[in-house]
Amino acid sequence: MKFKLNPAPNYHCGASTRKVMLELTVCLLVVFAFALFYQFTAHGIGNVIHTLILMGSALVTAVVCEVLWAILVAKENPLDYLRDSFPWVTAIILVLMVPVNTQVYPVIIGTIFAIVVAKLFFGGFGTNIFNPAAAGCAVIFSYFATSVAKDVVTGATPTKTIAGTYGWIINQQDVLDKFMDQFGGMFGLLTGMHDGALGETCTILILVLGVYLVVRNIIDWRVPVFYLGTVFVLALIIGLYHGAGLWYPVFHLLTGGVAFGAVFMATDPVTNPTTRAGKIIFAIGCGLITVLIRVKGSLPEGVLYSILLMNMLTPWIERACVGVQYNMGKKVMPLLAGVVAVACGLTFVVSTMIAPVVPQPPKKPSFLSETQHLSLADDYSADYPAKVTGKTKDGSNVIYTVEANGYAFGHYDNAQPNVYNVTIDTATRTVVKVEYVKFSDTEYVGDTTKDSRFMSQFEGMSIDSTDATVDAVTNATITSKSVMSAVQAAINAARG
Amino acid sequence: MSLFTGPMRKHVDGKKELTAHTEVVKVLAGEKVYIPLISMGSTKFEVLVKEGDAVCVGTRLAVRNDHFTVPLFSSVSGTVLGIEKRMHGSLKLVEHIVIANDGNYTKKFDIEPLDYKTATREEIVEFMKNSGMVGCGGAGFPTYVKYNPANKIQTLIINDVECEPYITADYKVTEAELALLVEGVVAMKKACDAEVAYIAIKETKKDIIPVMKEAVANVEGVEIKEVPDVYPMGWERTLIYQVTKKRYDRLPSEIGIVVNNSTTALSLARAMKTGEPIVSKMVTFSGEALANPANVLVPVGVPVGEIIKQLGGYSKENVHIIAGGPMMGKTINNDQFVIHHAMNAVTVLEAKEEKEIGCLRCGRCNDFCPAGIQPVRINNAGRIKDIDMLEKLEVARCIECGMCTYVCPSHIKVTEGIRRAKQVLAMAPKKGGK
Repeated sequence: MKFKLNPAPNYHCGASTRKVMLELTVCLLVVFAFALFYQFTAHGIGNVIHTLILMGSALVTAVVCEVLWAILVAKENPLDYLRDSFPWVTAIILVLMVPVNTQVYPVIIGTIFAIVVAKLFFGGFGTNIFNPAAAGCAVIFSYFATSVAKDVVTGATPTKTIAGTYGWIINQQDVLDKFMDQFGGMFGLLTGMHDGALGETCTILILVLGVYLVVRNIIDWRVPVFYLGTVFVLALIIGLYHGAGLWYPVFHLLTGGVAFGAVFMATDPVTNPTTRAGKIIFAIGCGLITVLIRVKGSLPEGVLYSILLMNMLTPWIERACVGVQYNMGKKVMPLLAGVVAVACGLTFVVSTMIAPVVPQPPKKPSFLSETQHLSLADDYSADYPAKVTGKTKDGSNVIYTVEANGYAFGHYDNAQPNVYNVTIDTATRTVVKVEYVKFSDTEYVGDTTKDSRFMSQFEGMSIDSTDATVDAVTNATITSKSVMSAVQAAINAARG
Repeated sequence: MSLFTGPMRKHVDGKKELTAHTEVVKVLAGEKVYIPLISMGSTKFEVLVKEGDAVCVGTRLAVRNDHFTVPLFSSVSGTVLGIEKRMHGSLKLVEHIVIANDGNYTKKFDIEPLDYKTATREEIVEFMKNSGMVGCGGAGFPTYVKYNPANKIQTLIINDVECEPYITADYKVTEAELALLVEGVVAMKKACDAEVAYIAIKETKKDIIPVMKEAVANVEGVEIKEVPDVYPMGWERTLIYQVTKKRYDRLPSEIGIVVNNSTTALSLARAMKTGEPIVSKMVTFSGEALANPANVLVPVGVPVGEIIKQLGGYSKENVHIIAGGPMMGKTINNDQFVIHHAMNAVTVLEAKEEKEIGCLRCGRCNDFCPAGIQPVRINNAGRIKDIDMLEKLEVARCIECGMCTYVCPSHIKVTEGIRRAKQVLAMAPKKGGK
C-alpha cells in the first residue's frame, strides 16, 4: 500500500494539449485536401504533385529541425520532444499560406526560419513570441517572392488583381462586374474556386472549420469574430466614402488570407494575450493593420504582417489587461474605445487618400496618326529637300521620279534619299498614285509608309489644291513627310 | 456569456453515483479517539482537561482562544490519556487530545438547549459560539462570526450545493433529517435577521428537490433555489453571484448576505434541541481506489485507516488518500489522520503520473477561474518572483479551488504554482519597508 502525495487538485477534466493539437491538425488537413482538390480540377495533376512536394518538404524540414534541436541543444529524447512540440502544425500552416507556384527551396528555408529562429530560439513550444508560420512566410514573401516554379500553372488572384489593377477600390458597376467575373463572382470567392495562396481561398470551408474549433473550445470565438468584424467595418467605411456598395466589405472578408488568418493564425494561443479582453484588442488591431496594408501599403495583402505586428504588441496588451477579470470591462473600455476610435479615424483618413483606378484597355495605336496631319499648305522641302529627277509620259499620265530626303539624313552615315514615282493625270489634274522606287530610311519603321493605307490617301488629290491633307503613319512621321515632300515636288512640276 | 470574462465555472463529473444511493454505514470508534486541536489552521487552544480525567460524549475538552472562540467536545465517553502530535488532514503535525474509549458513549452535554423561537437574536449567536458551530462544508469557519449583530443582513443562503466531486454527505444528511435542517435554517434566519433564506441545491438532484420544496412550503421566508451543476457552485462567491447576481469585495456581509452550509444548519438545530454539539459526522468515503465507497456516520476523532478497514479496504496499490474532495482536499502520506469536526469527505483515488508540457497560454484557467483572476500569469510571475506583477494580479483572491489545474490541457499544476506565488508574495519585503 503506497500513499502518494500530490498537490491538490487530484482531478482532471481530461483535456490535453495533444488532443487539441490533433484536432487542429485534422482541420488544417481538411483545408489542405481542398487545396489539392482545387489544384487538380483547375490546373491538373502536375500542380497536385508540386503541392504535395511542398507539404512533404516543409513537414520533413520541420521535423528534422526539431529532432536535431532535441538531440543537440535540448538533450532530450527526440520522440518525446516532438510529441509535445507539434512542429507539423507550423509546417502545414506555412504551406497553406504560400501560392502553389512557390519553389521548394524557399519553403524549406522558410520552414527552417519558422521552426529554428521563430520558435526554438525563443524557447520552443509555448514561449515563442511570433507566430512561427507567419514568420516563416514573411521570409518567403520577402526574399523569394519572384522565384516561381516555372512548370506550375496558376492564375490571377483576387487580392493581387484588385491591388495591382484597381487600387483596392472599385466604385463603378461595370468595372466591378468585369473584375468579379474573373473569379466567379461573390459565390466563387466564397467557395474558393479561384487561385490564391494554397489554403486561403475557400472561405466557407475555413469558416465552417472555425465554428467547429470554437464549439470544441480549441479557439476563442472572440478572435475571429472581432478580427473579421473589424475588417468588415473598416472596409465598410472605405466603401461608403468611395460610394462602393456592401459588396466591398464582404469582398474584403472573402479574399486573401483574412478568413484563414482569423481562424488559424490570429487564434494561435501561444502568441495571443491570455485574457479575453486582451484577445479582443489583439483581434481589432489585426483587422486594422490588415485593412491599412491592403489599401495603402505596397503589399497586396496584410494578414500575415498584421498578425506579426500584433504579436509584438501582445506583451503590452497583457500589461493593460491585468487584474480581476470581471472588473476588466471598466478597466479596458477606455482602451478599447480608443483603439476603435483610432481604427475608424485612421481608416477614414486613408479613405481620403486613395482613389479608384479605372483601368483603360491599352489602346492599339492606329496605323495612321490621329494627330500628325500633313498638308499641302505646309512646305516640307525645307526639312526634306526633294527634287524631280525624271519624267515619263504615258498617255495623259505623267510619271515623275522624285528623290526626297528622309529619316536617314541626320541619323545615318552615307544617307541616301528615298526615290518615288509620283503619277499625275494631267487631264484631270489629279494624283493617280505614289510608289517607292527606292527606300533608304529605317527598315521595319519607315517602310511602313509603303502600306496602301497611307499611299492611297494621295490618290485623287488635286494638284490645284493648296490645303489637301494626308495622315502620317504612326511612328513613321518623318518618312511620311519625306513622301509628302516628294509629292509636293511632283505637283509643283506638274503645275508647270 | 460575458465579453471580457469566461464562464468562471465548469461542469465537473461529480461521481456522486458512487455513494448517493448506498446505505449509510455506522462506524463506531475504536479503543482510542484523537481530537485534533486545530481550527482553520489555528492551533492556539486552551486545553480544559488533563490526563486521567473522565469524559462523556459532549464534554468540553478545549477552546480556541485567539481572535475566535471555538470549543471542542469529546465524541466518546472514557478517559483522557494525554496529548499526542499526529498528522492532521491539513497535512500539518497537530496536537490531538487522546481519549480511551469505554465503548458506552455516555452522553452528558456541557451546553444547555435553547428554544430559538423564544430566544433573541443575540442569544442564538451566543449559542452558536458556545456550542462550537463551525462551517461543515470543509473549511470550518466559526459560524457565530458571520452572525455579528452589527451586520445588516437581508439574505441568508444555505449552501446545500456540495459541488466537490464524489461528496454526497450533505445530500445524505439532508435526505435523512430534512425537518431538522429546516428548523436550523429558520433559527439561522432569525440569528441574522434576514428577510429571506434560500436553500441552494443543485438542479440535478431531482429526487430530493420536490421533497425539500414540500418541507418549506409552509415556512415563511424560506425558499429552495435550484442552481446549476457546475464547480465551484458551492463557493460563497459563485453561489452568491448565482443567486443574487451581485459581487462583493471581501465579505458577503458587505452586500447583506450570509452563507452557511446545510449540515451546519442541521447541527445547530440538533444542538439547540438536545444540547449535542458536533461529535459525530457524516463523511463520504468515496473514490475508485476504495473497495466499497459509502457514506459513513462516525464519531469525530476516529483515524481514517480504521474506517477504511471496516469498509473493506483499498482496491488499488498506489493511491492518493485525500482529506476532502479531489479538487480542494490535500493528499496525506498515511491513513492515520482522523475525522475532525469540519470534515465531510475522504477521497481515495488511484495515483497516476501526469507529464506536464509547455504552457500553451490558451487562457482556459483564466476563463474558468471562479475568482476571476489570471492563474496562467500568476504562475509565470510567481516563477520569476515578479512581486509587482503578483500584486497587480491580486493573487490573494485565489481560494485554491483547483479549477486551473483541472482544466489545464498541458497538465500543469497551476494551483500549486499559485500557492508558490502566494508564498513568494508573503516572503517579499513589504513596500516602503526595509
